[in-house]
Amino acid sequence: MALTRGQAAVFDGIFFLLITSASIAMMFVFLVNYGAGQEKVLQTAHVVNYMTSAFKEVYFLDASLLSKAANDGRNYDATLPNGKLNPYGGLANPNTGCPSLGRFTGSVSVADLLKKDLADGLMDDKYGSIGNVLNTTPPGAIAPSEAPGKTALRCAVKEVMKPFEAAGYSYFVEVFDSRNVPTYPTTRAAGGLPGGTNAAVDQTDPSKSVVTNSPLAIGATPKIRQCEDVTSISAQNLVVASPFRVITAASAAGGQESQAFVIRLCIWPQTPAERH
Amino acid sequence: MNFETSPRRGFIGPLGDDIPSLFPIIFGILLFIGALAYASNALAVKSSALDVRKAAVELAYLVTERGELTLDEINPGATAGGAINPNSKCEPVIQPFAESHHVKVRVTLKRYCDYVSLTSDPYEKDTTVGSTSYEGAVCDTSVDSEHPSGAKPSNAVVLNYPVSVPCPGASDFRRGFGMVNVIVWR
Repeated sequence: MALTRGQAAVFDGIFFLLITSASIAMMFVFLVNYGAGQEKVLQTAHVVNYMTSAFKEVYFLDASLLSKAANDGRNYDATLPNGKLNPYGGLANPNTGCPSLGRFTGSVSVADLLKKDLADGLMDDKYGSIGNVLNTTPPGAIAPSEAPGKTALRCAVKEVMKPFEAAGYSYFVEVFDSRNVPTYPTTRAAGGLPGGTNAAVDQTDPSKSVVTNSPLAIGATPKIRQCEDVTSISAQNLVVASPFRVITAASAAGGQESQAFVIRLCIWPQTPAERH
Repeated sequence: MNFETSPRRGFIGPLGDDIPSLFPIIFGILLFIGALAYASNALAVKSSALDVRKAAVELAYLVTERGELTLDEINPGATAGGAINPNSKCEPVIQPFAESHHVKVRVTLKRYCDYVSLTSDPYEKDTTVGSTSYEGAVCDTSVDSEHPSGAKPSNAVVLNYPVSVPCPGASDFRRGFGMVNVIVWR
């Protein structure tokens, strides 16, 4: 009995050491996870504030000062070196791209051009082309006038979202009429492409340009046609929406008509298919 | 009656037998206290870093409340020439915020005008885009005798936000690309 007395005490000592080690391990687990939730909230707050500031800036930007937005040395060809369509294709065109905005001298803002473009319900760089996405003028009708709101928005958002794009994010801007809630498809068409209707404002004009930096949102069969489609390629999708009211004349006799649009900007981490 | 005739091996004494058990106990206590001290210090550092980050985000909300900023709104109200800049946010908004949160703040307003350049230093207010230089504005609460141009810490939180700024001249009525950098450290 005397021989085993010392053994029991050593065993107690080692057991105490074991319990202490377990406590320390739990302490370090707590330490590693401390602040993770707060950090995530702060990161989200920063991103949302950035996107909100981007919206506010775009409304104030002078359209004529966007004429040099395509001088930053980026590739503005129609296709990228890897053969994919370039989301920024055509923006360096002197007649239809960012340089063409230099002719809007005075104080014409991006918001002014966008309102004129959207007044007919389409975002196609023209005013007066209702139901005329093929850019044709029926006999006897007045040809649509130029209102490069979409081009101005593309040139502006391209620069404003540059830091996020450099950090590996894709973005997509859509405009829809708040009175016509876009229907989201519940079924997928063959090949995984989203079915259903587009956002109410059509971006598929003859130039096929879209306010985006993602190759998945352009082309004949885009995977992304509205912000909800992003959930099919990325679990992380942040969307910020802003109201955009356009007031037009109701008729030649007078009166006003108000159209309540909503502009949505969604961003998500670039997928491997989008890197260029 | 049974007496032990052979000596008991390994028996030091009632207390001596417990001496070996003291080593793991003392080691365990020291380890626990050391881990507690380290964890406490790490927690304080992490907590301070979160406070600084939170202050940066809150200050950014104050600075970016509108979509446009002019140089007067960021430059200090009291200019070197003695004139007073009534539109400044530096003394009435930014400096009291820094003092109440016990942080140092540097807010720089950069004017790009033509296109945004990602290679410019957020601590510097002036930019060069292509071959054109644009003057910016700065409000710095760390300016003192030791740092006459403001400090440049390596552990600061730097947040960038897009704003529209007067272009191409510093007081033009047209608005071009700009960026406001909110730099906060402790």
